[in-house]
Amino acid sequence: MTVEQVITALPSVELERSCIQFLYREAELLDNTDYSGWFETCLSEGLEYRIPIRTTRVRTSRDAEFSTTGFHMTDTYGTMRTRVNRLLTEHAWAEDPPSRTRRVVTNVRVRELGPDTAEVKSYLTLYRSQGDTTEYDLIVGERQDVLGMEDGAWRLRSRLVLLDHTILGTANLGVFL
Amino acid sequence: MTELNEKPGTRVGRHTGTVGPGPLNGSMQTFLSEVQSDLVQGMLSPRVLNDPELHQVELDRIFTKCWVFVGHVSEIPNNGDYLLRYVGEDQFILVRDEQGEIQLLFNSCMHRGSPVCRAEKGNSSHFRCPYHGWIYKNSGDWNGAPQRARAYRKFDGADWGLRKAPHVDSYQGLIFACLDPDAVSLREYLGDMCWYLDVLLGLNEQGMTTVGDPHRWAVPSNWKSGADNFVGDAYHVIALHQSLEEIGVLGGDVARGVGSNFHVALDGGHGLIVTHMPMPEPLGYMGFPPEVHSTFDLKGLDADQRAFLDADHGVVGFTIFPNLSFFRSFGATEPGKPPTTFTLLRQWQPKGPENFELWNWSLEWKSAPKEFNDAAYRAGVSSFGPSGIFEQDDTVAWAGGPPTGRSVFARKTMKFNYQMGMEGMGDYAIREDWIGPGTVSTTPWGEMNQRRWWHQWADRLMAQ
Repeated sequence: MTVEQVITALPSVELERSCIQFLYREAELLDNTDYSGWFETCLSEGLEYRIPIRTTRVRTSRDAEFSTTGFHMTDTYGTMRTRVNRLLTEHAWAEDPPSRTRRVVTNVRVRELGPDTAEVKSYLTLYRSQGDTTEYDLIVGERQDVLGMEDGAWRLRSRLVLLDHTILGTANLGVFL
Repeated sequence: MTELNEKPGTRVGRHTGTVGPGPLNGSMQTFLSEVQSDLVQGMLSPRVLNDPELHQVELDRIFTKCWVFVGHVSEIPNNGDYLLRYVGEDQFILVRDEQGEIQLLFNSCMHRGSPVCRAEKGNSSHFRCPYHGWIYKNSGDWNGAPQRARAYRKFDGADWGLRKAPHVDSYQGLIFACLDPDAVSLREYLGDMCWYLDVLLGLNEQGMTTVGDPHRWAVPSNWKSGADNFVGDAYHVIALHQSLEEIGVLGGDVARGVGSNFHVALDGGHGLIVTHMPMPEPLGYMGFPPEVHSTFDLKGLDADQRAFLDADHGVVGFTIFPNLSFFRSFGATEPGKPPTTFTLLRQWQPKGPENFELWNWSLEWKSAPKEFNDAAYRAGVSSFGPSGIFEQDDTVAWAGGPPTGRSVFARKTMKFNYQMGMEGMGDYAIREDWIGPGTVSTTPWGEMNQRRWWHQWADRLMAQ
């Protein structure tokens, strides 16, 4: 690959910056437990959100570690609204009192798919602690997102969360990844 | 110089191993006697939810003596298909051998105990230990070792196969294993639960199959809290799952047990919660729409079983002692969307006295249209499983067990209340006109099933 080819393969600075800022803003809203703000400003109505189940396989296995049929979450815009509405009630016990979360989003790679679409891959390290304890859970994985530009702002059209866990080390997925 | 401990010609020891519980010490015996007499009064010591010594006794006297669920036949359809599974806290390989027989092999080499299988699933004719290369067939038989002619000249391979469960059997697709050589048959162990498994899972020749892989996640609670919930706790739905009513996913009448929502208590500690109510549109017979229930073929069922199916019992949960539960219900993934009926198997896998792993399988009818099965899968996962909007809250409630169970103060001053439905406590009564087996209640407002589950638990721990 020549230097010129590498440069053309890179996303523009503006594109990359705007996608990274989208991920940071999303993390901020969720860490601040502003679920409505996240739902209303970050999600596209065409959302497809999936977390496939992972199993341990031998290196030579022809089968992938990530299931194509089994999911920890397989959600749409409508089912996300159900989840957010539930969190806003006074009886969503899993997140009330809320977890103290910190979403560390790194290793962002952006690829332009079209004039208003971008593929954005990122690593997520989610720290979660809840209640009167020093204990915490870590949820770690890669997110493979497709963002779409809608009315001048990026929105999440699809997210595939590839977890670094076969057995989830947290009592529930009451938090969004 | 050859190193020999035996005189030449001495028979080299054969290791058969026996499974038998060790004796209970006096203080444990006293405690369990108290548990039995407390239960008669509708009370239970919190110690049962967190005690390392008690936990060891459970592993010894329940998980090596009872028939324990290890998987579904559809998970290992072909010869050589294997999965790693657990009985109590021990890891086994569940495998269909070259003869098509299902085996449950202890995943530990007979030479030094290294695991012979380290992938959770796959297909293999043999398992080879990475340490010294001992090889076993997928039936568990010893099949060879490197340098055999020089290293193991008088070795009898027949004695050195992988240890395996002496009994593996299935009923309506559910595979159970028992580590006790002297166990009763699976059918005898399940007893009257077979009648209910027929009407829940045996509705046609093709039966049900698992979808994807099971969910697995770590819950900071004692495994018995899950078994206790699914064997009879319809009462918690009103309070713990109130948020679902508030957002319109769960009808308030369902939560409050309108229609008739009742218990079926069976011998052996098994029990069910059954709901009798007309199904909402478009669901019909047993909660299944016409394109699904038209594929049912009930010729194997008797008249009483058909009467059960004809009577709108579309929502059913159960626990098979000790740690397998089931739930079939209808639900919508969002308010206003048509409901669909999903079917789940769940297992409460002990991980020490303070933690368990929750395993959750979705089942679908092989005969049902793909659109129905896909919708049912989504409804199930959105309700139960790690992200399930019902189950999320259950995990919070169950987390109270371990800190209470370990508390010195609680052990001295506190007993849990298990009195709901006892004589004179409420309007809970025994129903006389039930068409199936078991002791059946008139309402859900009782804890007969839970008391019986705990009686079974205590009796098993004390059995000679």
